[in-house]
Amino acid sequence: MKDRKRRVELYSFYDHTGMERHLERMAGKGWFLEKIENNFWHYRRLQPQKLRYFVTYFPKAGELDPEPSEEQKTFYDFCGHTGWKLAASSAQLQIFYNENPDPVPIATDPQLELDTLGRSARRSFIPVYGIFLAVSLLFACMFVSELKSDPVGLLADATGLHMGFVFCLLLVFCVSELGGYFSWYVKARKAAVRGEFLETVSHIRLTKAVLALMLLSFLFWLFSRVSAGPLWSRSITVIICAYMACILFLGGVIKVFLRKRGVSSGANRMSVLAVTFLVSMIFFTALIHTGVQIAGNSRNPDREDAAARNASFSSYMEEPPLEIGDLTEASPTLYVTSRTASDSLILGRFELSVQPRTGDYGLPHMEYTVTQIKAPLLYDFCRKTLLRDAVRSHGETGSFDELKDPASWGAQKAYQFTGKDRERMNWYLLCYPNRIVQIWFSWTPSERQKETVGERLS
Amino acid sequence: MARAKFQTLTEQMFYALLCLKDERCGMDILDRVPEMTNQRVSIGSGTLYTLLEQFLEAGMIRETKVEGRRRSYILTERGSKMLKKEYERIRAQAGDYQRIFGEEEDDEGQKAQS
Repeated sequence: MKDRKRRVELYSFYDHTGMERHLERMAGKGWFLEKIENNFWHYRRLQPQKLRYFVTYFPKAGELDPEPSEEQKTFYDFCGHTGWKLAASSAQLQIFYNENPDPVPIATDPQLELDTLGRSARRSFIPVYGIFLAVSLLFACMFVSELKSDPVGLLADATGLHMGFVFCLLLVFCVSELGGYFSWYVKARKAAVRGEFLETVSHIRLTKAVLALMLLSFLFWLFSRVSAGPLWSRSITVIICAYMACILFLGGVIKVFLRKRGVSSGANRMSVLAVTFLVSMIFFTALIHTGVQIAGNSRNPDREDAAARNASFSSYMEEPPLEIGDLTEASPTLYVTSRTASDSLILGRFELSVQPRTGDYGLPHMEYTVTQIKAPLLYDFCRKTLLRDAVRSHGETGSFDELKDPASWGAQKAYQFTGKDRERMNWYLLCYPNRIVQIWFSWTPSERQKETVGERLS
Repeated sequence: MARAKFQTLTEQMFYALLCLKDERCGMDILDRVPEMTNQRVSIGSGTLYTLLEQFLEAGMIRETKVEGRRRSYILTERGSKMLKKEYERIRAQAGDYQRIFGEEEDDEGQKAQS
């Protein structure tokens, strides 16, 4: 039977009554809190006991303090005098227990207790969550704006989707934490005037839900990244994930190590930053160097995982499915080609634009976007959205009309754009079983060229 | 509305200051207050710690002795005035009570006698 265990407790900074209730329940089950380190609460198994816990705050304490200051020790002496022993502390949070079933509480004046908590919150909790709130609000707004302007593109971008979703969740979390704190604080202030203490309200369910959704989003991103693309690209994703975990672990270990050795909080902070920076520099230099070599080698098809390459639009970056030379006699040296690819578990997208290098727009040129629908449920949504967004991008001055002969493109459905003066433009939207292709030509394509487009892009 | 700092004293502030008429350390105060109030009033250790900090900052007490982490304090003139002001406020309150209820009680007593 294990005698020790570690848990991540999801209590809000100010939720002292929630923590007290939880620790009293744990002590009743025989688990006694002995320390808090790197966000883990460490418990030791003892005989089940009926202990009283009291959670309070010491505003001047810091997370990296090598040991309690003299003032803090005096505070502990005061508490010890009334039977309260320190169980654990983490920065300003101070957790005491008492074996007396009915002790004099550590705080007996609600206004003073609230002042102490408020001073502690203003030193750490409020600025940290305030910064998170501002950053997450900015990125969440960008995410929502992107979702409105190009939802299909966003769904095809695993990283953008994951980051945007995580920032939205972070925003919800920060609003809940800060909103919860201020709402409780205002009520507690009123209660304190009446000489009453007000219990805190826990938001653990919301925190758990936010974390679970963040984890799901991360898994979505991870599987999107490792299930497709060249081997080197997939390997880099895994290596970066491992690096992130290692750097967090390393930072935590150094912090605790230096604190235990009595290093001042300033030197500790600088050391953690310096080591993290140095390790990151070495890691990324090695990664870029190795990545470039591997990417170069992987151009040899014999060394490449062909199935994975084909499953990904990333492979189109090296060999686009359709180039200007496949449709016209024009020399590729006359053109500048730009291409982008993105992938997720549900959609993939590849965009290619071929423009005359010299700006001679008399030369034939073209642009196309291939959207691969991996989740069939999204097909109709993508078709309608792409049609709508294409019209919108043209200033709402035309419409896509369904063509009667989609078969000439090898497609199930085909649409052609008609401008405001009923002029038909060489801009098409072609629907294949798992793909939707938007293609624009600077010329009117022949039947043979349509057939080639169907063969290459379907 | 929140109480303006030290404009009036809470019961705990009052007794903490009262204890410091003579030189005492924090832990003595923790023991002395319940004793002098017949266990009616107790001050929490955290509350007393904060109070002593605030009294010092406001010049109502001063440090007299430091033995390791054991610090002793005594009331200053300012603290004495504050305490006296509070005492007078409490006396005035008691007087008001006496004036209102005391007369009624006297009347009831006289009626009972007659």
